Amino acid sequence: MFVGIVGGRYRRERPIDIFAKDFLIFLKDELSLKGDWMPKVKVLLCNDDTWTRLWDIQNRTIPGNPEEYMPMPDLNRQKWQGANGWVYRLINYDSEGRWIRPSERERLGALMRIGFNRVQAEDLAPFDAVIFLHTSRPIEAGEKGQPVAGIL
Amino acid sequence: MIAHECVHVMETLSGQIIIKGFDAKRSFEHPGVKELFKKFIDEMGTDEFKRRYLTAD
Repeated sequence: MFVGIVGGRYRRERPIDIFAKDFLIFLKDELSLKGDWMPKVKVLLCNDDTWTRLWDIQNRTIPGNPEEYMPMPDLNRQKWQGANGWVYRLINYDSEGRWIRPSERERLGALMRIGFNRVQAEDLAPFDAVIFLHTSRPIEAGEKGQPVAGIL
Repeated sequence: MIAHECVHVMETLSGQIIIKGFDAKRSFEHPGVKELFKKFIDEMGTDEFKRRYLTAD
Protein backbone atom coordinates (compact mmCIF):
# COMPACT_ATOMS: atom_id res chain seq x y z
CA MET A 1 0.00 0.00 0.00
CA PHE A 2 1.24 3.51 -0.79
CA VAL A 3 1.96 5.35 2.43
CA GLY A 4 2.50 8.89 1.16
CA ILE A 5 5.53 11.11 0.97
CA VAL A 6 7.57 11.27 4.16
CA GLY A 7 10.79 12.81 2.81
CA GLY A 8 11.73 16.41 3.33
CA ARG A 9 15.45 16.97 3.06
CA TYR A 10 14.83 19.78 0.60
CA ARG A 11 11.90 21.57 2.23
CA ARG A 12 13.97 24.57 3.44
CA GLU A 13 14.02 27.37 0.86
CA ARG A 14 17.46 28.77 0.08
CA PRO A 15 18.14 32.02 -1.82
CA ILE A 16 18.56 30.11 -5.11
CA ASP A 17 15.15 28.47 -4.63
CA ILE A 18 13.60 31.87 -3.91
CA PHE A 19 15.22 33.25 -7.06
CA ALA A 20 13.76 30.41 -9.14
CA LYS A 21 10.31 31.04 -7.64
CA ASP A 22 10.47 34.81 -8.25
CA PHE A 23 11.82 34.39 -11.77
CA LEU A 24 9.01 31.98 -12.69
CA ILE A 25 6.46 34.55 -11.48
CA PHE A 26 8.23 37.20 -13.58
CA LEU A 27 8.20 34.90 -16.64
CA LYS A 28 4.52 34.12 -16.21
CA ASP A 29 3.70 37.84 -16.50
CA GLU A 30 6.33 38.53 -19.13
CA LEU A 31 5.14 35.73 -21.39
CA SER A 32 1.45 36.34 -20.63
CA LEU A 33 0.94 32.76 -19.48
CA LYS A 34 -2.34 31.69 -17.97
CA GLY A 35 -2.54 29.29 -15.06
CA ASP A 36 -4.08 29.10 -11.59
CA TRP A 37 -0.90 28.22 -9.73
CA MET A 38 2.86 28.50 -9.99
CA PRO A 39 5.13 25.47 -10.10
CA LYS A 40 7.03 24.73 -6.91
CA VAL A 41 10.67 24.41 -7.86
CA LYS A 42 13.80 23.08 -6.17
CA VAL A 43 17.34 23.92 -7.27
CA LEU A 44 20.10 21.38 -6.64
CA LEU A 45 23.80 21.86 -7.36
CA CYS A 46 25.67 18.88 -8.81
CA ASN A 47 29.39 18.21 -8.77
CA ASP A 48 30.98 16.30 -11.68
CA ASP A 49 30.35 12.92 -10.08
CA THR A 50 26.65 13.57 -9.47
CA TRP A 51 26.30 15.10 -12.90
CA THR A 52 27.76 11.98 -14.51
CA ARG A 53 25.25 9.81 -12.63
CA LEU A 54 22.41 12.09 -13.72
CA TRP A 55 23.13 11.20 -17.35
CA ASP A 56 21.56 7.78 -16.93
CA ILE A 57 18.55 9.28 -15.16
CA GLN A 58 17.86 11.99 -17.74
CA ASN A 59 18.37 9.40 -20.46
CA ARG A 60 15.38 7.46 -19.14
CA THR A 61 13.00 10.39 -19.54
CA ILE A 62 10.87 10.04 -22.61
CA PRO A 63 9.73 13.14 -24.49
CA GLY A 64 5.97 13.16 -24.66
CA ASN A 65 5.50 11.21 -21.44
CA PRO A 66 3.38 12.80 -18.72
CA GLU A 67 6.54 13.57 -16.78
CA GLU A 68 8.59 15.12 -19.56
CA TYR A 69 6.97 17.27 -22.20
CA MET A 70 9.76 19.08 -23.98
CA PRO A 71 11.79 17.32 -26.66
CA MET A 72 15.32 16.77 -25.41
CA PRO A 73 18.18 18.09 -27.53
CA ASP A 74 20.38 15.57 -29.27
CA LEU A 75 22.61 14.56 -26.37
CA ASN A 76 25.36 12.07 -25.82
CA ARG A 77 27.60 11.51 -22.81
CA GLN A 78 30.22 13.94 -24.06
CA LYS A 79 27.71 16.73 -24.73
CA TRP A 80 26.11 16.06 -21.35
CA GLN A 81 29.40 16.94 -19.62
CA GLY A 82 29.26 20.35 -21.28
CA ALA A 83 25.67 21.05 -20.28
CA ASN A 84 24.89 23.77 -17.75
CA GLY A 85 21.76 22.32 -16.26
CA TRP A 86 18.77 20.06 -16.61
CA VAL A 87 15.24 20.46 -15.35
CA TYR A 88 12.95 17.55 -14.61
CA ARG A 89 9.27 18.49 -14.72
CA LEU A 90 6.50 16.73 -12.84
CA ILE A 91 3.56 18.60 -14.27
CA ASN A 92 0.50 17.27 -16.01
CA TYR A 93 -2.46 18.72 -17.90
CA ASP A 94 -6.18 18.18 -17.66
CA SER A 95 -8.42 17.61 -20.67
CA GLU A 96 -8.83 21.40 -21.10
CA GLY A 97 -5.10 22.03 -21.17
CA ARG A 98 -4.83 23.49 -17.64
CA TRP A 99 -1.72 22.71 -15.58
CA ILE A 100 -2.38 20.18 -12.86
CA ARG A 101 -0.25 18.46 -10.28
CA PRO A 102 0.01 14.70 -10.63
CA SER A 103 -0.83 12.80 -7.45
CA GLU A 104 1.89 11.96 -4.92
CA ARG A 105 1.79 8.38 -6.07
CA GLU A 106 2.27 9.37 -9.74
CA ARG A 107 5.15 11.71 -8.92
CA LEU A 108 6.93 9.20 -6.74
CA GLY A 109 6.44 6.51 -9.38
CA ALA A 110 7.75 8.76 -12.16
CA LEU A 111 10.89 9.67 -10.20
CA MET A 112 11.64 6.06 -9.31
CA ARG A 113 10.95 4.89 -12.85
CA ILE A 114 13.73 7.10 -14.24
CA GLY A 115 16.24 5.93 -11.64
CA PHE A 116 16.01 7.86 -8.38
CA ASN A 117 15.97 5.59 -5.35
CA ARG A 118 13.00 5.71 -3.00
CA VAL A 119 14.58 8.13 -0.51
CA GLN A 120 15.61 10.52 -3.28
CA ALA A 121 12.21 10.24 -4.95
CA GLU A 122 10.45 11.03 -1.67
CA ASP A 123 12.64 14.09 -1.23
CA LEU A 124 11.97 15.36 -4.76
CA ALA A 125 8.31 14.43 -5.17
CA PRO A 126 6.93 17.53 -3.38
CA PHE A 127 8.26 19.72 -6.20
CA ASP A 128 6.72 20.40 -9.60
CA ALA A 129 10.13 20.81 -11.16
CA VAL A 130 13.68 20.10 -10.04
CA ILE A 131 16.52 22.12 -11.53
CA PHE A 132 19.88 20.36 -11.51
CA LEU A 133 22.90 22.60 -12.13
CA HIS A 134 26.33 21.42 -13.19
CA THR A 135 28.60 23.51 -10.98
CA SER A 136 31.75 23.00 -13.08
CA ARG A 137 30.29 24.81 -16.06
CA PRO A 138 30.52 28.44 -14.81
CA ILE A 139 34.19 27.85 -13.95
CA GLU A 140 34.85 26.32 -17.37
CA ALA A 141 33.03 29.12 -19.16
CA GLY A 142 34.98 31.75 -17.24
CA GLU A 143 38.25 30.06 -18.14
CA LYS A 144 37.28 30.24 -21.82
CA GLY A 145 36.65 33.95 -21.50
CA GLN A 146 32.86 33.75 -21.76
CA PRO A 147 30.92 36.22 -19.63
CA VAL A 148 29.60 34.48 -16.54
CA ALA A 149 27.02 36.16 -14.36
CA GLY A 150 27.12 33.41 -11.78
CA ILE A 151 24.90 30.53 -10.91
CA LEU A 152 21.71 32.59 -11.11
CA MET B 1 21.73 28.95 -15.29
CA ILE B 2 18.69 28.83 -13.00
CA ALA B 3 17.02 31.44 -15.18
CA HIS B 4 17.66 29.25 -18.24
CA GLU B 5 16.02 26.21 -16.63
CA CYS B 6 13.11 28.35 -15.39
CA VAL B 7 12.49 29.38 -18.99
CA HIS B 8 12.38 25.66 -19.88
CA VAL B 9 9.75 25.14 -17.15
CA MET B 10 7.63 27.90 -18.64
CA GLU B 11 8.14 26.45 -22.12
CA THR B 12 6.63 23.24 -20.78
CA LEU B 13 3.63 25.06 -19.34
CA SER B 14 3.01 27.30 -22.31
CA GLY B 15 3.95 25.04 -25.20
CA GLN B 16 6.07 27.93 -26.52
CA ILE B 17 9.70 27.37 -27.45
CA ILE B 18 11.81 30.34 -26.35
CA ILE B 19 15.29 28.82 -26.31
CA LYS B 20 16.16 27.79 -29.85
CA GLY B 21 19.50 26.77 -31.34
CA PHE B 22 21.41 27.10 -28.09
CA ASP B 23 24.92 25.66 -28.16
CA ALA B 24 26.36 25.52 -24.63
CA LYS B 25 29.84 24.89 -26.06
CA ARG B 26 29.86 28.20 -27.90
CA SER B 27 28.01 30.45 -25.51
CA PHE B 28 27.38 30.21 -21.81
CA GLU B 29 23.84 31.54 -22.01
CA HIS B 30 21.10 32.00 -24.60
CA PRO B 31 20.57 35.66 -25.65
CA GLY B 32 16.81 35.45 -25.00
CA VAL B 33 17.43 34.29 -21.43
CA LYS B 34 20.04 37.00 -20.89
CA GLU B 35 17.53 39.61 -22.01
CA LEU B 36 14.82 38.30 -19.66
CA PHE B 37 17.29 38.08 -16.79
CA LYS B 38 18.43 41.66 -17.37
CA LYS B 39 14.84 42.89 -17.40
CA PHE B 40 14.15 41.01 -14.16
CA ILE B 41 17.14 42.70 -12.46
CA ASP B 42 16.24 46.11 -13.87
CA GLU B 43 12.71 45.85 -12.48
CA MET B 44 13.89 44.66 -9.08
CA GLY B 45 16.96 46.88 -8.73
CA THR B 46 20.46 45.59 -8.11
CA ASP B 47 20.49 46.37 -4.38
CA GLU B 48 17.31 44.43 -3.75
CA PHE B 49 18.56 41.63 -6.01
CA LYS B 50 21.75 41.32 -3.96
CA ARG B 51 19.87 41.52 -0.67
CA ARG B 52 17.34 38.88 -1.66
CA TYR B 53 19.46 36.30 -3.46
CA LEU B 54 23.14 36.89 -2.83
CA THR B 55 23.06 36.70 0.93
CA ALA B 56 24.61 33.80 2.83
CA ASP B 57 22.77 30.49 2.39
